[in-house]
Amino acid sequence: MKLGTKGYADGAYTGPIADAYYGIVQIQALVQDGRLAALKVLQYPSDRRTSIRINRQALPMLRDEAISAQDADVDIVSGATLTSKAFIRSLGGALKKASS
Amino acid sequence: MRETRILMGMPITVDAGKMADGTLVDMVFDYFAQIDRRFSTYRADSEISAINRGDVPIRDWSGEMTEVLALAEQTKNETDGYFDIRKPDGSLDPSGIVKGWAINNAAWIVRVAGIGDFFIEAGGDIQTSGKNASGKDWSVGIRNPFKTDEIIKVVYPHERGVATSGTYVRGHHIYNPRELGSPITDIVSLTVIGADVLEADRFATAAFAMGKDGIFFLEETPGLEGYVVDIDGRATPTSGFGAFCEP
Repeated sequence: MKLGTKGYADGAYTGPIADAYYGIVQIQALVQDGRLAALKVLQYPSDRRTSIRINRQALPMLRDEAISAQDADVDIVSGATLTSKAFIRSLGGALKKASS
Repeated sequence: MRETRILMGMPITVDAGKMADGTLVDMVFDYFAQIDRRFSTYRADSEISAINRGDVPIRDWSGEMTEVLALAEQTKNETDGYFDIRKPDGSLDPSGIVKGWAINNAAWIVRVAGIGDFFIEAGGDIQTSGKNASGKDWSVGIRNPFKTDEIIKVVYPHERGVATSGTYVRGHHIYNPRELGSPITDIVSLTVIGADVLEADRFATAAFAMGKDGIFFLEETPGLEGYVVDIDGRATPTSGFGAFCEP
């Protein structure tokens, strides 16, 4: 998808407070050179951490196993989306960028 | 009744049992169609396309758009940047989070109608509730990434959500946002069980982008379990995953 030539005016823009069903969210958008450069969450109902530091030593050993076919008599099947064109296009764009 | 329709570019199935009438099922599909009209990057007239063109000042963004973009940003923070809806060209593509978010909201539509036994599945991401028509726990098969007509694991989500990210069939379709142009090659399928389908979906996308570290990220994050399959056909479950393999 190509960004329009018009774009946004540079600056910081604060969005309205939106009432999501689990709490209040509000975001701020930063525009540089006419493009959306960053989104900042001003309010969000969450207490999760903000960065990951994976310390494998602190975790239990995870055992692996060979995959094998199971009885297919299940209600529903979970698998990756077979029609995820957006991802394919993203990857195409990324590869194009990488090769140029 | 169970019905499948193609919406948002993927098959969506709603099974709301014998109690549900066609009106409720129509209402759920109408909801998905409405979400597609707002969030599809393939529609020039969608809100997300207008935002990407620079046509909509932020004060005019809909509440739904604000909520989804805030959730995406939150997920990016929670995963140290591995989840990112910004594409290499700078535009926003929230499709990696809209699916789980929409299924989760659709599940509430069904619950509010008084139905407790149902499932909604969209493109392999699933929210179940209650029991199936035989009065048993809903069972979910994880598809073999090397042979898509085969099941390699059966899980019983017990009210939680299930989502799978993967690379099969169409080649690598998830890239690492921190190393653009380097597709993920060491793992091929990652299934996440989370508190609901929204949690499962956003962390499946992010953990997959982490490659081999993804399963350890899931292991150390409370409330998430995972099952990863690598390129050699070896599977690694998190330590709490086995609890979901029993009805």
